[in-house]
Amino acid sequence: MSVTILGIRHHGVGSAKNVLEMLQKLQPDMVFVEGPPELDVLSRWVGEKTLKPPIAALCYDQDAPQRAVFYPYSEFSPEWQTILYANKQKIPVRMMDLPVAISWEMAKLKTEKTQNKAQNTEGVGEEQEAAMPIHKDPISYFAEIAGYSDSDMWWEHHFEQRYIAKSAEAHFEAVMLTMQTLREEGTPSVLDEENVYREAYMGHLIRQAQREMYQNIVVVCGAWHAPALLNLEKTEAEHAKIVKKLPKTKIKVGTTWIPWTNDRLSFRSGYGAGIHSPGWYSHLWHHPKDNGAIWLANVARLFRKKKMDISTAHVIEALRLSESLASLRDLPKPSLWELNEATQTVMCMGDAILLELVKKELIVGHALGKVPSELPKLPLQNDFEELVRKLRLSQTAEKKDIELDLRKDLDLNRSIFLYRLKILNIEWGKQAYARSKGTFKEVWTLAWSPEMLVNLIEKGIWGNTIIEASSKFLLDKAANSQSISHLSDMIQQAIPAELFEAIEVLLLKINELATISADIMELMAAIVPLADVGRYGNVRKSDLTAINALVEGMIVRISIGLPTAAYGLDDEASQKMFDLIRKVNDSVRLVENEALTEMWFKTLAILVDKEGIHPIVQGCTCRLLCDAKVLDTEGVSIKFGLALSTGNAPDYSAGWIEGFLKGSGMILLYDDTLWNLLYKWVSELTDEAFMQLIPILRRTFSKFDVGERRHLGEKAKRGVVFAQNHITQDLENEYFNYELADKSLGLVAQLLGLV
Amino acid sequence: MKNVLRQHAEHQFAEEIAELTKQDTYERPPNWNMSPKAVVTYLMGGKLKNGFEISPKYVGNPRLMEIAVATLTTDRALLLYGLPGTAKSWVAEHLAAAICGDSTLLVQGTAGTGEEAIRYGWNYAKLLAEGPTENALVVTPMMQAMKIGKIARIEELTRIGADVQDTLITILSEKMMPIPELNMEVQAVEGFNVIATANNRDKGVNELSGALKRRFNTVILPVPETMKEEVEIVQRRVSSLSKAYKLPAEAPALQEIQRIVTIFRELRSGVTADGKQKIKSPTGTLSTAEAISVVNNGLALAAHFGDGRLSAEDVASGLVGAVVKDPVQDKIVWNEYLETVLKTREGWRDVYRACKDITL
Repeated sequence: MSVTILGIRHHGVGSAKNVLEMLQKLQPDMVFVEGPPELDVLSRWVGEKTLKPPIAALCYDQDAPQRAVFYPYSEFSPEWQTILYANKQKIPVRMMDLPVAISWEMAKLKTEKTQNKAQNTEGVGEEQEAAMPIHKDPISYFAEIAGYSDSDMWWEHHFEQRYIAKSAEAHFEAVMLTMQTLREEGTPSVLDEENVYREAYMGHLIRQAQREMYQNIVVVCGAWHAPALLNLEKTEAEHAKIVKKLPKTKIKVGTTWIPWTNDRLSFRSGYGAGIHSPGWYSHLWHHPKDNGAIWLANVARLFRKKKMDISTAHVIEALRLSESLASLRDLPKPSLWELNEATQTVMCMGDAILLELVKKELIVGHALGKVPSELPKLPLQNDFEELVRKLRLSQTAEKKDIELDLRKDLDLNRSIFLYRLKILNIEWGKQAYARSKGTFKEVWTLAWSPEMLVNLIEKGIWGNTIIEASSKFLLDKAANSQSISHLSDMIQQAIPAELFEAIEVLLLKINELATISADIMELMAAIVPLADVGRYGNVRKSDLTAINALVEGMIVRISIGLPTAAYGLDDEASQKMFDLIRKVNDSVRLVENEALTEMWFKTLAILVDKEGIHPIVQGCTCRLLCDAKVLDTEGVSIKFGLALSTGNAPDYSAGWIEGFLKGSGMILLYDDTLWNLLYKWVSELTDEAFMQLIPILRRTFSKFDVGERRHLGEKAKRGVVFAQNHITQDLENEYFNYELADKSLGLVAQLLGLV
Repeated sequence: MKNVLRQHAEHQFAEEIAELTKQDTYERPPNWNMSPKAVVTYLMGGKLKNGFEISPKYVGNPRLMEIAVATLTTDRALLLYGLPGTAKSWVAEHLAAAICGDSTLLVQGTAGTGEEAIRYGWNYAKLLAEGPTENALVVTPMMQAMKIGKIARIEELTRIGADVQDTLITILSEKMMPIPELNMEVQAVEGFNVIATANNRDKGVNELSGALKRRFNTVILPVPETMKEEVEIVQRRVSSLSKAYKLPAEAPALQEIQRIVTIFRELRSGVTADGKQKIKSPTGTLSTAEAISVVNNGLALAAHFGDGRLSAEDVASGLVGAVVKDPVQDKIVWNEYLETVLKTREGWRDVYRACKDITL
């Protein structure tokens, strides 16, 4: 009865090669692979043509699918190759690790315990936090001695890159010795506590197999665990004791294969070890003897495809440099690091940006896995069906309109659900125009098609519930976007879908972009919805202070940048700027922060006097300052007079008036000084200039409402108003009854809100 | 020799070079004074087997120096590329000093550099007297390096006109320089190579032609990666410089240097040091060399016009001058930075005030 332990690195190419060699040599009658036993049911699919790596084995809690763990496999993973070998040889293969259900149960108990403790001993609980020590990667002790700055690099050079045929036995002996030394020294590892249970369970499972009379067992597991699984007789009692202590659990774990991508292989999930260069590993797997020439030729082809001139001479020079770098560093052949450095130095003019392309296309690569359709259903699918049932929606292909009243819970949840699907690009429902007014009504047209199911399955990698998947999918999209307006669109999508977490992240991202953006107008456009959200608390559960801080920061930036941004704009852009300034002004008033308001008005004051600003903008800022009483009547009339003085071209003055009066002409009715200035200006215009300006003036005045226009017309008939006369006339009306007036004053004051 | 303002690297660090050569057991490429490994040690610093301490010349990623040295062992020339003030010339000088003990074979590239500065010129008096003979040739540093198998340096390669740059192609690919007037050629001796420096920020530079590019391996020297590295560089250089200029001011407090470096790093990288807030970057380069000059400038102000201690006011004017290079764009950047970052930062009130006083 022999048990052979092969310590590997997850996804290690050299490990995989050596494991295969050992398997062929030992011809075992059963194999163990590290991984939770729940995955046993999935092994039989390995080897089917329809199951193509990169894929991941997914374990999820059937009652709470958002709790899940992934075990990704690529073609060159030692685990994958081992299972493949076992299936081909038709020998049993079993997974070996602590069951996922038990580790979840333990985590649950632990949090409950700490919670209880915290309740019992309030204040003392802080010590608990500090107790978690930060360990460094145990392998780094070796790496440091060997002069490597990176422990991965050390391992890579020694165990993964040089596969020498017929030396697998020596390879695994070396790995075992390395790990044994580290463990005997008591080198701490991050997962120490957990490992005690895991390794005891591993031993327990192997012993079980021994009792089933398997004669020649091969165990493939992470190198760190290898020494713990030696001498199974000696550790039997100790392991049994630990296994007995493990909690019982009722957690039901569902499993299935899901398609994976190369860039997701770098995620730390399941094995707790991601890889950052799956494309490079795949290259090593397929071309074990390559000295770098094939790799560099591929790099050159990639650059050529992107229209860059890379000759064969470049490849030769890069290979030579990588070789001399390798010899400077005492390596038998260049590794990815040397090849990258040579590529950067020779082909990219030292520029690391181009290397990013190589990283994306070759080092990581775009491989996408496939899974057979007859696999067990994904949790995301289950969640979807559960929701459809709960929300009483029917999946029919024919179009059907539903009207939702958002004041009712069911309808609100339906709307949220449909918005979330929309975010996932599943357009089951299309929003139609609601006939009745009011924000609580929504009309949706539903039409289901089978492709949507495929689409849904594809989204399985984003999460196990609709809410999780839509949130993560949206955030991934946000991560790739650099436009503020795009992101505020996303916020608009996320609000009805009630993805509060996503909203917070989106806000952060907008903040980042707002900071580096030099486009003040884009900032100004983005601030309005944000200020609304911050003021009225549209986003109910989101942290409002974060939004307000964001808005305040944006106002500061706008205030600083506006004078430059408004400089030298043409007519069209100025119209836009005019609108934006008024909107920002509203937002500033909403925010009600004194210091910011002051800063904003200071900026406006600069605009009013600055040369080179379009008159419509200047008129508008003057009006805003006037409305806010920053400029008093006298100040305004000075500005007004300056703008209308004959020194200016008539169209400048007309533009200024448009900016000043746009929206409301009321001010002309009660401020006679301004009225007189305007009246005088118009009357002094030459006929020719007047004809020219008519369209602009009409554009301004036609927007006032009818009543206003009529009053203005009447006032214009009277011509220049002599203020003093006007007032005294009114007061000296002989029929004026002071007594009655006095009586009504109280009520008027109340109506005006003065009391 | 004692009175020169600045010594050549091979003289200043003669002892270190001698010790390294003595201790060096690895194989040396032909005509090299030491092995590639020893050259890297000379640049990065370290302790030799006998305990002798080598001071670091370059503070930063050792892998970059390895690439540079490995390039020089192949027959490709080395181009050190980067922002102004990232120690390109400094590294080039030390590389030449370590490899061949001579950093003086230098051609300074300018817009006016002609072919005769790179290939050869004529001594016209002799040319008239003797006719075209070898004796009448004016040997350039480049030709000299080829003859004796040493490293030639070209400073600011991209400032040289494109047609003149291209004379390098024959030298770098054929390793020879024809002299048609004398019907002869100079062939490079083993050990010859070229280190060129160029900066990628200047406007109006002459891009290298594709053919010439292919003869160079390019190493980009980045701005210092960590705060610690940068503070170390600034402090090292400031203390050696203030000795040279005999500034009577007190040695600058580490805190003040840290603050300057923090401002430089934040503006350069566009993120605050805590990584929480993004900010705009100005148009200037804000290199470490500029940080050094800001500190020096402040020290001089403090010594001659202040109380001898470096304060925020002394630094502020230099700081604003270094950051605001473009009067329109950079002013916005700087004002935003002052208002959104410095204003609220605890303990930085004095810096904010001092800078605010200067800003228009």
